[in-house]
Amino acid sequence: MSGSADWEAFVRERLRLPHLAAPRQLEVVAELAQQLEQAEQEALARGLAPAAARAAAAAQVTDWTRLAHSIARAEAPVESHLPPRTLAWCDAAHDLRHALRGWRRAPGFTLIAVLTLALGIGATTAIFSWVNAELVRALPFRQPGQLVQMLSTAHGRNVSVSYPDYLDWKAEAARPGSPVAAMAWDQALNFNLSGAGLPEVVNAADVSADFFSTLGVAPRLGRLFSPGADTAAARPEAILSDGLARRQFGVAARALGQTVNLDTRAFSVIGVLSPSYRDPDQTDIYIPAGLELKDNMERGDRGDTAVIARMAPGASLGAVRERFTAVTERLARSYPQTNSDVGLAVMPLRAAFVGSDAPMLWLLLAAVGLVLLIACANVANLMLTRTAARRQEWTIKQALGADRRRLLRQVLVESLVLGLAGAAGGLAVAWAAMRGLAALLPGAGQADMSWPVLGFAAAAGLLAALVFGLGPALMAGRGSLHTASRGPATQRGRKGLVVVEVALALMLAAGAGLTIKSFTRLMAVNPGFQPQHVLTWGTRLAGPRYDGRQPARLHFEQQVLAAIQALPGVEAAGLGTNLPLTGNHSRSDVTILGRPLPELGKFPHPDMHRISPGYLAAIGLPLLYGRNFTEQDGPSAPKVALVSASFAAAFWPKGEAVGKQFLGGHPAPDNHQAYTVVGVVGDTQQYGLDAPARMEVYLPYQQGPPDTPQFVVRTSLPPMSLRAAVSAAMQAVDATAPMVDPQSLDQVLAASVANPHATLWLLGIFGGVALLLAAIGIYGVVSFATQQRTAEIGIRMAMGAGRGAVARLIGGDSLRLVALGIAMGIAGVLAIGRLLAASLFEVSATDPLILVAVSALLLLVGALASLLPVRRAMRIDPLRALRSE
Amino acid sequence: MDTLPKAGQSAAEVLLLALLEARPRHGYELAKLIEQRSAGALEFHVASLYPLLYRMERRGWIEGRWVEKAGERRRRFYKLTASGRKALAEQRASWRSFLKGMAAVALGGEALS
Repeated sequence: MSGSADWEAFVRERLRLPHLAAPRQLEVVAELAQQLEQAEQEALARGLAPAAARAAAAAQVTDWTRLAHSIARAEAPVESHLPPRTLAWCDAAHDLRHALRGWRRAPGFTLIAVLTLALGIGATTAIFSWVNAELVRALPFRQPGQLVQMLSTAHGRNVSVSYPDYLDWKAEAARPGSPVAAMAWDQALNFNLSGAGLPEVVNAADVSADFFSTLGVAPRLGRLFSPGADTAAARPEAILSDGLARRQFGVAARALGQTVNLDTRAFSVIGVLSPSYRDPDQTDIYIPAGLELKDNMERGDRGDTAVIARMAPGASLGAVRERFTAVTERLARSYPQTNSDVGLAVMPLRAAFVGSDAPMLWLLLAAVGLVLLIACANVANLMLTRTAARRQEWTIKQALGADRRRLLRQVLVESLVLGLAGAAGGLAVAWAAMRGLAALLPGAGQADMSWPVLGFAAAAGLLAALVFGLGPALMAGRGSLHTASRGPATQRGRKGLVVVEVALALMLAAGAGLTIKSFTRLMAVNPGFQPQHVLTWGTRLAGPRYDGRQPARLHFEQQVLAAIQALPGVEAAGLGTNLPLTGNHSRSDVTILGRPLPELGKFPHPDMHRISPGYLAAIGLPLLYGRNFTEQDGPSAPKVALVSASFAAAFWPKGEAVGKQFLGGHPAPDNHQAYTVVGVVGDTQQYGLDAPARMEVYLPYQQGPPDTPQFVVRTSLPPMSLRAAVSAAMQAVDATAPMVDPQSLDQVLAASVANPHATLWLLGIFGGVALLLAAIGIYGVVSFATQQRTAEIGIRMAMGAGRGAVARLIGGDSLRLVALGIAMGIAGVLAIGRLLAASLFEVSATDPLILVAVSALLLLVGALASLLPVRRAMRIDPLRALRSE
Repeated sequence: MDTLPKAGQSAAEVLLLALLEARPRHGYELAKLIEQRSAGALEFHVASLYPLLYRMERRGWIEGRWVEKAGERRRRFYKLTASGRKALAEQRASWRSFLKGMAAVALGGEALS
């Protein structure tokens, strides 16, 4: 058994009171020892074993540090001797422990709250990771804000820059006072790469020697191009992306010093870029611009080029625009033949990286933010319920001297713990959701768990905690016995939250509804061809065997087509150049013969295709009138053309297109490219289902076979099942010809609507989650209110109110909340409709049908959520209800 | 805390003052009394009780004194001082209505009437 001396030693060991005078210290220790000893005696008297009794007594003080601080404060009423910060930390640690203990005591509540938050934060984080990857994350270049892209314009459209123009711009950039510090050239090319691993068609670029230094990029391995790379004497050297180096050599480092063949030229690898390097064209291999000089010397020739410039420190986009517009105007005067209508476009380099996804991404982020808000509203609701239940605890705590700020802080700490737990769960949800996203939309695959994303999740958690913790915290502050714990303020707060939830859910559901309607409209658009049961793939004919040798190309293509047509299940096979909905295109001005010459810049500018006779049948493009091409429309036959319905309608509206002629390009003494129209075909949605049809011109394949033909095969079998047989047929004709990107035309179509499709799914999911959360919120509030009104209902029933009246009372209350929410939600939709409009096709953002439908849906959800509480109210036994009061 | 009579004066202080009004008591007894009378609703932890007593002693409302009775341990008894009595009386008036409610919840309805 312990004596008082033992207890004194026990207390002395634990209680540090350095700021108290020694005699006072002794007194305090003695008194506390006395307390513990007495507690031990009492426990023994209750029959506890000695060890247990001692433990019970010792447990009377759990936090000796805190006790020491409290005593120190009590002993020095004016001011504590302890630095306030120490005390604050001590308090915070205490609050934290208290919060964790509290959540452990209410596992059901905690689980629901954390899951709700995890769902909201996770979904928001997943979308943010995507937004971050595409729109926010800094470009992997030095001071990316200084980088701009400079393009030429013609007839209001951005076009590529010609090399001679670039040289003139660059000369201007080098002059004193130029707002541009460096300027570089970047021209996209395609090559067949061979000589290392598997042959592949690579995205290549010929770049000026200062391309990488302008971007501020250093190679991960090896070196960059030397200044001589801009001259015709440039050595055949190549810099590889990390991805290509690994694909071809297994390990990036192994690529250095190796040789790769681009088409027929050999290049030695001098550098490999870092894995984080990226460029908008997904360029895999860079070669010196000097090697392509001979193809770039015409001022009127515009390949697929971009000019990258780094602005001088302090220079603005406007200054660059002004300075180089002057250059452009000067060039237009000096070279009217080629430059008379050429202007200038300057934009931040980031714009080149951001596709057309931006409006969709912001829309989705806004939508998912609403989901998070609803989740917060639900948790706030839960917190309020808990607040009501804990009101007594708080009242007593306040009565015992806990000050109001402490209580407020405690509730906030509880909320923070909950918010952070939600954020942690949210990261798991986000991780899974990002995988789902990547499957839904390959473009989203760039998203990853980077620091900004982790930070976002944490911030979302903290913000959510603040949002849902604030109400309860304020109520804790106001708490006292005189405030009825289930008073009107709490109820009003909860009802307000439900109204907000319903409003947000309506907005999301409306968004989902509008997107569904828009997508239905989109899919109902006739693409102009029949995409079912069609396999398509490309190839690239390169090397001395094909270079500039049309008969060789024709021979290859005819051999392959013949082999394919002999395959079982093949109904039609043809060749084309630019498939609809792929974004590939080539356009050219034409001159309609027999009509007045338009002024420069107003010439018709149709899409130009090359197709073989089998193409129309293979892709399912109808011949409206006239004749199709035949094998007789060969290289030496008269030049003929098919035109689209839009083209025919524009110039020969009375159906007299056949036999009419047009000229490729502008009239000139040496232009003998007159084509005779032999037939008119249907329009296609060349640039997307939501884009208007353009004028299109089809020329016979045989009269100008390109080096990158696109095969189109209609089959009665599943298209992809034909792949192996088709590949074998090509290999049999030429083993070096790659089969590029085989896919069904259905897939091409699906890829062209991948964004709206993903938006549809995501908004659908968000809308569904929002409805579910709103239903839970409504249920919570109505059932709580019913519980609160048990006595009232009892009295009403005792006074003769029927069950129907009770149902109307409770149900009516709840539906009034829902109706208010619906009204607010519709106001919200009207307010943010413009954000939505950018992603909608042929549907107004305020489509009345959709608004009515989602309102009805919300009412239904509200009614269903109220059903259980209403039934419970109807079954109240008046006698028991009154007795319990 | 607009329902409390004076800022900075907690119900706990009044509770203790009232318990000491009848006769001097030691800390352990005070803790027990509060716990018993509130039927466990109010747990007055050692960690809050003693600092509170010390603070009230500092203010001069109560006075602690070590008492050694024959056959018993040496204990520190607290008794109400004149200024403590005055403080209690002052507060009682304004606390009365509140204490009724308080008593119902916290002290089992018997004390402080």
